[in-house]
Amino acid sequence: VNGRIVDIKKFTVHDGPGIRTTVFLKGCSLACRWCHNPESISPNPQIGWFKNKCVGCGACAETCPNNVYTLVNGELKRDTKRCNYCGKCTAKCMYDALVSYGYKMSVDELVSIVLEDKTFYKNSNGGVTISGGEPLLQAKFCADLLKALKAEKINCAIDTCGAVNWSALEAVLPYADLFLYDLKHVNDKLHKEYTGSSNRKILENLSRLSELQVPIEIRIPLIPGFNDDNASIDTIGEFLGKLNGIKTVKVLEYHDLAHSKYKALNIPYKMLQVSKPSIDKLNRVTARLASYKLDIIDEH
Amino acid sequence: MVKRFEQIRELLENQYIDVKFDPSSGLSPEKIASEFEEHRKEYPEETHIMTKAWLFHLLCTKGRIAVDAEDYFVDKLEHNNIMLKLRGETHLRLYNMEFQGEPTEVPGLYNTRLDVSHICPNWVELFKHGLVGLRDRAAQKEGVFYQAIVKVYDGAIELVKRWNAHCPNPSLAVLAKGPPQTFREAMQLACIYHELLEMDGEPIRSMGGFDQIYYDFYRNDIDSGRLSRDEAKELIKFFWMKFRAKTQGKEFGKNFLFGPIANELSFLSFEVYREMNVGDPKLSLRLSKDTSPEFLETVIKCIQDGMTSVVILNDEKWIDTLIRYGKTPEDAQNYVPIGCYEPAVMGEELNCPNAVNFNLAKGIELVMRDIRDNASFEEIYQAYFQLVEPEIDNAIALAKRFEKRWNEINPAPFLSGLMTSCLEKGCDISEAGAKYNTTGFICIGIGSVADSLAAIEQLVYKDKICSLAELKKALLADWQGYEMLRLTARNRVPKWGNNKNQVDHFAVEVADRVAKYINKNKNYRGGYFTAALYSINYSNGFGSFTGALPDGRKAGEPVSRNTGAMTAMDRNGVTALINSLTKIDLTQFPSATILDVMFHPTAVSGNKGIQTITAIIRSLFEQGGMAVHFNIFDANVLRDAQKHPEKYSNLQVRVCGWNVRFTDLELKEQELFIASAEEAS
Repeated sequence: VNGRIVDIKKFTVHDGPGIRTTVFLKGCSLACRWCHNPESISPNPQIGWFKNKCVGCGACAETCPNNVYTLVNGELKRDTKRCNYCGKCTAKCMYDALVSYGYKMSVDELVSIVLEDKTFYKNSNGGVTISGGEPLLQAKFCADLLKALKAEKINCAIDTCGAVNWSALEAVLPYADLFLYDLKHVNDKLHKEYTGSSNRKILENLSRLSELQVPIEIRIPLIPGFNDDNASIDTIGEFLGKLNGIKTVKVLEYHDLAHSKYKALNIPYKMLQVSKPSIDKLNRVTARLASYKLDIIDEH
Repeated sequence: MVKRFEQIRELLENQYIDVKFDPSSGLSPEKIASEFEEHRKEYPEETHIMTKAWLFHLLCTKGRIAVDAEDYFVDKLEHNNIMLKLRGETHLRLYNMEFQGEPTEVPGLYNTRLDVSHICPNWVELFKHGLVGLRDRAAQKEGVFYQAIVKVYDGAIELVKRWNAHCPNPSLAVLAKGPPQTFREAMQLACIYHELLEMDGEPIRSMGGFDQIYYDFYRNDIDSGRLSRDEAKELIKFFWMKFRAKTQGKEFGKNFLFGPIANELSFLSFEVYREMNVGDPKLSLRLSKDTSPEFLETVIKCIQDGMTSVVILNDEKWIDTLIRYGKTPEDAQNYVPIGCYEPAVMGEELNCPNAVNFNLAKGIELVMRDIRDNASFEEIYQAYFQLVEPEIDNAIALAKRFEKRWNEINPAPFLSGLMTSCLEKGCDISEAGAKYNTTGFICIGIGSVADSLAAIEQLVYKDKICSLAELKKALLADWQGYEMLRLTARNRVPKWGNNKNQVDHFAVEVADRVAKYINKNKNYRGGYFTAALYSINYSNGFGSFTGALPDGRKAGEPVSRNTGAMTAMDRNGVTALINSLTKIDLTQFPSATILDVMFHPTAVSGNKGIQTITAIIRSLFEQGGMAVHFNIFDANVLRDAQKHPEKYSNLQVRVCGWNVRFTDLELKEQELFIASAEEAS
């Protein structure tokens, strides 16, 4: 099986221990309003258009076989309905205003790319993190990839939102050294409203996973107005406190730095009124969580 | 009573500005100058080394002095740069005589010079013998050379006595009679030697391995109760501040080396450096497998906090390299960086690292100008070497002619008197008196060369996007009218620094061939030329004389810096940059290579950041890197990135779980990030 990849980032230091390469797979089972990588939500190829970089040269309009682009008085118009994502326009866009998101890659190709940094993994106790999107929507690919990496003695982490069938988690269990497991909210109604899906599977899978003694790092995105109030934090803390084997928690602050990508992808951004939580707020939240006997990872 | 450093910091920072020399303590500079003129008229046939020694002695015995009662260390003698001016005049006269209008450079391609300005005296010998011991050692032998040495050391000893008479000081009393006994006396002697050697026209770059050569003095003082830890810190602060005060931190600077084995003084020194928070002096670390992790962590914490002048050297690799290029294993252990990073054996080697600066990238421009339109790629590639190699020969021939005149320009008895091999051979450093005599040949723009060759190969021969004739025309027109072709070259061809073999193999091949070609040449002093791979700021200077290049670079823009990628072209992060660089056998560049690494503060902050930087250094060195220094992006740089996004397309902004390129952000978003960068710093 080939994987649907959206990005491969070398030298990542916030997705698990040490220096890592993070592979972002395309397609997600959630659609969180605050998502910072909106290009990873759809499983299909997409083309982003960064208008701030576009000089209106018209190279895309000349190249496109489907007349997606028209140049009107030096200004570019795009009709995405006509687009079949062949990517010819992005190859011709010398200003990087048009960017392709999504390509296929085999396990072997991916392994040879991530192994380039083997020395760095070894010296930092780092490795490879499979992220997304929701990587476990491509569970077979993930399992094959991790199996190949384990054969090379590479530390492997899976960054999951948990909204997948248990069988998908089961498929990677033999190979994953660490799960980075996102938890957004325990309240199902709010969860549905902000992520588009129920949290039932997420909580069930986490409970089940926590029984298995595999290392898990819980990641809570702190979203003002959604889960940053005391009651929300308490329900999360209570839920986690009751689970066996869950000890470490990392709070990820919301930042509104993804807006440009939403614009480029022509996806409405629903978080315009929300701003980054203050350091004070962050400290209060982590202190509150810590009171549930959780170890908070602080990289500040 | 000496005040505490922090109380009089400003005074110390400005101690060399408008020094109040005591008018009654000696002759005015005008009087000194006229006495010197009379002397030259009286002895027109005198050897230059004796003339210089006479002037040195005159200044020491008759020049005005100043002693600041608030300073631990005494070093002020009014010499008005008269000896430096003498060097300049002599240099110009002999330069004209030697070259008679013949150019010593090809603008944009290379320049050559006499480099006398990278000295590391043998501090260990200095502390062992003291000024008196060095004088007596030379006095045992006969001949003009030894007389000159005795003359300058007599002058120096007399000067110490004069300072002490002017304002009594226990260290000076000891140094007027013999070698230093204490930590303070050793530093006092280093101050005096530094001041007088620079007066003599030989600028010092390296102050030696601080935690090694001062350790015994420090240990004895502490153990005997003569000195407290706090007093030792105060002494170091007063001592180090002199080197920042001299240049006001604007240029050059002094290098103090540390490691590889750390001791109490190593830790104490970095504590001092942190408290002083200055960019000068510059500290370097010899990092070996025996360097303690605690000390490496101490050094990295300084780097994290923005003290980015610290250079880290791959100790085992440097020692191996020096042995490979002719040093004995014992001498190789005693190497020091004698400039920014150039290694030389302390007190035994006179390396002139800056004698030739050669812009490898200019060769591409010249080849593309003259190559015939139907040439194959292989023909272009060979034409490059056929053009560059004779130019290397020319540059080397010019550098040798400079060296030939050195003994007439600036014989240096004060330095030679400290060099054991000069005393044994009976000749001055300017006449190859040193045990090792090397001449550096700096190769600039390796990244631009690799990128250009890859672009020619891909655009013309693989993808056939344009003909060779078209590409040549585009370059001659500085890409005017060929913007799409330029952007294709810039954005659609792999670049050096991204771990792409398609381009990296050119850098490896060119570096190998050029280094071998350079290293086989003997210099005028019986030693060898040694290749280097770095650029200082010449990538800008030479760049402004270099026309358009096939990699999409426009005429006049800088060529690639040091061993790194073309500006903003390392788009795959630091690990890929290191993987590219270490494909080159860097030991072929014994006169140094350096890698610049840039980080955003969020990538290397906190405890994890220490581990990250450590792993980067260890991995670089494990793969064959020789030296590295770090820049951590601050808010000011981000401001510049806002204004000039084209220069910063490699700047990754990554905050806990997502990433975006800084230049992709909208203005408001950039503002936010700048604010958080300010927070992080």
